[in-house]
Amino acid sequence: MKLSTEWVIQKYKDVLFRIAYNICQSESDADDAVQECFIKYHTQNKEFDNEEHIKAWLIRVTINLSKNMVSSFWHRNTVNWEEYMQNMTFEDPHDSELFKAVMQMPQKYRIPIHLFYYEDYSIKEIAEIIKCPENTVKSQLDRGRKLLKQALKEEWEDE
Amino acid sequence: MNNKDRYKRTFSSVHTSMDYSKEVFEMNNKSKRIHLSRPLAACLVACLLLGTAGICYGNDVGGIQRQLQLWIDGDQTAAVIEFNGAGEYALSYKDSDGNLYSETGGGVKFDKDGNEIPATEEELLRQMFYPDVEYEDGKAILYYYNQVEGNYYKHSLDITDLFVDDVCYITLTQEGKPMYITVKYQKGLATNTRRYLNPSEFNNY
Repeated sequence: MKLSTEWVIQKYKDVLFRIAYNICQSESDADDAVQECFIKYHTQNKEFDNEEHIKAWLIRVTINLSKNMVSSFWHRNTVNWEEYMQNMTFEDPHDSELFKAVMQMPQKYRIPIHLFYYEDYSIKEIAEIIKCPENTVKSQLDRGRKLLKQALKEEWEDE
Repeated sequence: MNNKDRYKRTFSSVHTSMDYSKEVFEMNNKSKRIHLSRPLAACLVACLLLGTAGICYGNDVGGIQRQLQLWIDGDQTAAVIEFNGAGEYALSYKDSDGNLYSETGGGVKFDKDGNEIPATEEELLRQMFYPDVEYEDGKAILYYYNQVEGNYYKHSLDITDLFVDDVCYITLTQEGKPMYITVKYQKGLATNTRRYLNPSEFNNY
């Protein structure tokens, strides 16, 4: 199956942008990565098993493109995450602390944390998406949680 | 509030303002012409066979005009459909090069006494965007549409390997409502919202 590109864009643009932003920490770079991902989806004649398969493929491609973007010579990073955060509207003002804590974590922890806490993926699913052993994902999640606990203290529950 | 809920609340504030559709399709629009999908075109032909052909778009027939957004092969176009109240319609739209396309058609149904009743606007619209299967290069592709806020999106599904004894069964879910589709290889399809129709229940020719 292949869902129409327009539909996929409308449904997943923010999902992918959040992931790309987590890696790039730059709005313009994240937009570039997501746009390139959608172009790949649109132009590749690839068949998918189901919508979950499409979503996992989009996420994996976005992660790879975002990592390329960050390591690229053309990495723009014109607006850093602190400036970006100033323009964000948080539902609860305390949420800015969580955003800040995540942004300060090493990149390798941010993606498993985001896929687990935002997209509700299991450790096994995250391992399949980012092509990484389950044990590695588990330890990255654990370390990420510890960093969040250190930064947020009692505002982050023990798990 | 647990960690997950708080994380979701925090990062739901991160969203893009970029119009990816425009960027993604820009290059395609330069070289590709908008065309009606084959299934839609087939529906139109079917309607023509059933109904009275020959109404011209633009005639003052006192009908009702509707505008909708069609997304076909990556192109968005505003289509205008005019219904004349007698089971006939005229569809027109402009492609990315500004060329005007128009199609006309109609449909009828029959009451228990065999009298013809003109199809309603909703029935005509449903028929135009009804799922259909196209057979090409040894493959069977199911095309279907879903509608969101006036936009009609076209999707495709390769069902070639799903046939057993020339019949395959597919469930589409749109807005939480199932549509059960029974496809007979090169002999049409039937849909039902409650169950798969038995192949013996339709197109027995």
